[in-house]
Amino acid sequence: MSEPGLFAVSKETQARLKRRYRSDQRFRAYGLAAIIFAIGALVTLLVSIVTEATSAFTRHELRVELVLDPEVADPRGERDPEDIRRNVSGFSDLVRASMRRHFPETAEDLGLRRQLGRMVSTLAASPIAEQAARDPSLIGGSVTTHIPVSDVIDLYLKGLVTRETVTPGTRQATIARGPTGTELVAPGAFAGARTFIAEAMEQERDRQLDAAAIAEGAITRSEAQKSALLAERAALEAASQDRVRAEASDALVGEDDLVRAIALAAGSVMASADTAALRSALTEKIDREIAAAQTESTGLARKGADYAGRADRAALRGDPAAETRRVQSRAAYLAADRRQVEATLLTQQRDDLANLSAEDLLDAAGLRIGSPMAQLSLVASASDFAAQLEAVRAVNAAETRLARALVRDQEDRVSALVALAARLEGEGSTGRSEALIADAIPSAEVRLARLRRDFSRLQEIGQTLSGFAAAPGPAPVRTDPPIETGDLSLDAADPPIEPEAFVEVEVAAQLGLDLGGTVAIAVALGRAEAGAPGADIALRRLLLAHFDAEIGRVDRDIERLVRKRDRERTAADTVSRTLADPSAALILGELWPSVLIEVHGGVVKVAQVSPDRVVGEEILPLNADAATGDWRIREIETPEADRLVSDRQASWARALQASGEIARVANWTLLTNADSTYPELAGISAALAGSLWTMLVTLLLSAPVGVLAAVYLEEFAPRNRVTDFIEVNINNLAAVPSIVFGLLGAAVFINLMGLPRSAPLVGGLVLSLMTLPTIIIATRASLRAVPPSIRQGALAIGASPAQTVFQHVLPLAAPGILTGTIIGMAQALGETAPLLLIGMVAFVAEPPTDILDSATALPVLIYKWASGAERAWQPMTSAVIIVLLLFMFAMNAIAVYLRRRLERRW
Amino acid sequence: MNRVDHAAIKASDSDVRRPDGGPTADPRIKVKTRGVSVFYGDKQALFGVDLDIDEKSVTALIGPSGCGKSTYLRCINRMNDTIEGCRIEGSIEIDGEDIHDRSIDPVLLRARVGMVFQKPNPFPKSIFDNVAYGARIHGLASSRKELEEIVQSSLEKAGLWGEVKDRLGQPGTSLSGGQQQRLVIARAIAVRPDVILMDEPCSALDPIATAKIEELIDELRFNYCIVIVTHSMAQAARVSQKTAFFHLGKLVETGPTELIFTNPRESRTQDYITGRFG
Repeated sequence: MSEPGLFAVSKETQARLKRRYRSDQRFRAYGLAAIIFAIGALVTLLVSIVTEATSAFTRHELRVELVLDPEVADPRGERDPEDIRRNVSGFSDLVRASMRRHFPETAEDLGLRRQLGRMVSTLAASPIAEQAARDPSLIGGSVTTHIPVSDVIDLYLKGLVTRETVTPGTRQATIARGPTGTELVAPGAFAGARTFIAEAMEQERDRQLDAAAIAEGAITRSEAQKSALLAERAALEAASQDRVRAEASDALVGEDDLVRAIALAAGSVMASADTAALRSALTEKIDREIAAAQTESTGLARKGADYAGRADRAALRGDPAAETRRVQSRAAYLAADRRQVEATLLTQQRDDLANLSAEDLLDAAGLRIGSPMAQLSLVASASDFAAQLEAVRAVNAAETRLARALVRDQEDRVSALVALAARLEGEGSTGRSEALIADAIPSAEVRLARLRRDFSRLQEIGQTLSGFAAAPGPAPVRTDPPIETGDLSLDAADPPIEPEAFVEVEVAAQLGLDLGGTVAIAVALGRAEAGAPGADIALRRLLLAHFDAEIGRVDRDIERLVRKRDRERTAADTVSRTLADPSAALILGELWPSVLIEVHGGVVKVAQVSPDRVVGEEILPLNADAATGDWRIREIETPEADRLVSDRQASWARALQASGEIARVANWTLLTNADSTYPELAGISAALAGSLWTMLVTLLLSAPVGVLAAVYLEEFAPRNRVTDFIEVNINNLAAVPSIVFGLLGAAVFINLMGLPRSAPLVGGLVLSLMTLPTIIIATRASLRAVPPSIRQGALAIGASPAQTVFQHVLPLAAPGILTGTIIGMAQALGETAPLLLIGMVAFVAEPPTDILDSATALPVLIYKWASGAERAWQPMTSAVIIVLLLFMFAMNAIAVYLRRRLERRW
Repeated sequence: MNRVDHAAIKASDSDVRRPDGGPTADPRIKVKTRGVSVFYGDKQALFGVDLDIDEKSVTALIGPSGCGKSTYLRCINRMNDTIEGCRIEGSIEIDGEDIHDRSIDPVLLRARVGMVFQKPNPFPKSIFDNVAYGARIHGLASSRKELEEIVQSSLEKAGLWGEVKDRLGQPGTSLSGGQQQRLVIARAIAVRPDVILMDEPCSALDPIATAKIEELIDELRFNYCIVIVTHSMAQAARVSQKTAFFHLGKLVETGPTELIFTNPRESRTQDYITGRFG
């Protein structure tokens, strides 16, 4: 430190200054970081959208020369334009015929013809039909036209379906045709292709080994579960009666309380004369049903009244819907009455409970819980073993018959589905319905298998039962002393029953009725608790049977897992063995990547590859046999089974592309076409028109109303509580989620005022409601920004308040108002949720021509296309997003321009 | 607003010399205020001001900030009406007519009583339109030619014609501060007022522009009744014939300017003029 100068300051001051600078820099760094983050996010968004969208800006078109055969183009021969226009399928045939001329080898094979036909868009022929309808003289001649290829072929050619590499053949290849296929020999030339396949196989082997390991883990877990179950079962076998009962009530946890109570009470009724518990449980259950029926009845009656009211209103308007509403009203009232009657019946039943005998009570219980309690009681109340056995057998026989009927019915369904799938296959329809059928068949088969299992179990039980009949052992002896139990008691005078056999029958019967369900346990527990003879033994057996069923299930799991593990391991071993020898030939299937050899204008699909030679099928005929050096190897990474473009289609597409028949052109139809279910034909014109109409309505409604409201509030309205309240609520309105406006629109404009659904008018109304607060707030802010000196100047010169506002203040506020309005409109343009609720999500195939037509809007189109299943919708979606963004940027640019242009200084 | 209405106002000029002889008054008194009190909500800003303002002369209102000069000024053309919560008591007469009478429309009143503000506030329009605006809304010109004459004569009276005659289409805001203030005066003159109120018209201007405005005021006094609020004693002394001193909302003293500045009756006036407070 030298001597203190003019700016010499204390150490503290220096430190404070440093701190201040540091905090300045920190703040600057934060700001910079935030801006970089925001710009990064924006750039990422734009780049991802634009890169995704670029592929939608072009498309591939096929040039076709159509010979318009009069027989096909106009089979009735009257040259009626309407006939011709409707005959799209005839023109599709002509398109397919013209494609077959390029590939004559497909003529004989139905499957090949279908594959070829699918390469162009299904509806591609309709513009040609339209053309011929306008000029019928074309029929009989020939027409050259361009039609879009199907979306998958388009994506394939754009390289979006799979990774593909093409390597020129390095050596002279010899071609030989043999019985196993066409053979190409060129020493070492196919080493690359073989490595390519080998790598895929290695990956697959790793996956198989992983799967085997996972299965192994699952087996270990299942076995642990099984041993735990076995231990529990063993414990149960040795457990005391109380313990068994406790186990049983544990098993019942999770059942519906009332069902359990009824089953328990039913069990105790079977064992003793005490019916009070069952009566009260049943009363409670019926009471609940009565309450439900009454609630439902009231609801239906309200609905009926509502419909009647609507019918009256519709009748006043002269709307023909009035009649429909009236019918709906009557139906609702009728249903309400029916529920009421049911409730009355139930009340009757409940009141009758008091008078029912024990047996009738059991019937009632069976009815309430959907299990044949009465039959169970039949079994339990039979006086001797033979009668019991007879009852059980009757029950079993009935259930077996029912199960068999169910199995047959399901078998019929499955075979019908299979037949339908076969017919569709033969007719060559679109892939969609086939896929639907294909989905339905496995689930129907699963259900069939389950029904069959139920059936065979019932059969097994039946066999057990007949075993009892065949070997009537010595007269059964009862160990428990008989107990007096009223109607249901076992007569003490009857010969006692041998408990083991008795229990066998009973367990078999209960399982048969309830198929291992908990109702059987509940009944048995109820009986045991009521002290019925042999009931504890039965309960124990029942629980053991449950364990057995559970253990059986685990066993089956283990079996299945073991099979899976072994299968994966074997497959992996096979791959490993094949790959061990680097010169061995690899066999390709549709699960492996494809290798195609292009030679002499034809294509050989490789089925076997070794470093020096390949053998395969000519999927595109070679037009010369001579050996030549000019050939290429095309490796397609995705296995054929995993893509929608077959190897043949790929080869055809490449061949047509090479000959210039397929060319990539600008995709103007994206702008000119309306929506379509086929991505290659879909366009945005209808949505664009819908958006413009909607915006027009919104602008015409919200701008004048909003500006005038703001002018009134800001310049004329007195300042008091009412205006404060209005101001707060306008601000609140601006914060309401847009979907709420949609609900409001649906309720008020469509339901109450009867405006048409999906119309731009309604959309515009709803969006106006949404935009109004924005416009009002922006307008008020810019009015407030006009200096009071302007107002005073105008007033002082004798201008009236209205003149002051409209001639001086508003012009000065105009830039701000315009900016606010345009930003509000841009917001409305991008709004989706309210439009969904007022039905503007409908499929619209024609651009709307006025504000009452059905329409959709750009953001809704984005929503719809984004949820499209086909891959081709993705670039299309991004393309619409770009169009929408361009609109918004344009609107914002207009706002900025107007602001600059109109802004005046004061 | 139409010509007939305006003619009615003009006709009232002659009422000054009422034939019926009313309680009349000195024809030389243009504005007569009695017991004017102004309240902003609960706060009283003026306490019973009685003041007569002479025709064709300049009356200066002086006094410290917040003493009620501007409030009083704004009563004369009822500009206080535009302020929420403002209440006025007492009587203000122009040419013997109560301006708060129900038959008097404030809009027409303001056409007769022009006003110039502290900060020049030309409209963001062309120079021509600035001046022509008032004439247009009051229907003073029936043709374009008449309108052009009004604009020219107003700008000439405001001493601005020579400077702007070649650029009448340019925005009024492109002028310098002093020019803007003269433009605003021309705008006020264009509607042919009887009274011109000036609220510190030079406080935002440099000395040269101030001198020009003062010169202009001096010329205008031969045709108009001018009331000027100023903080500059020198300005008051230079331009006014009569001076009124306000203090704490009360009119303390009024009289011919020479008298006030040389021999005030009240000691508060003396103190203020000599710069002892304020």
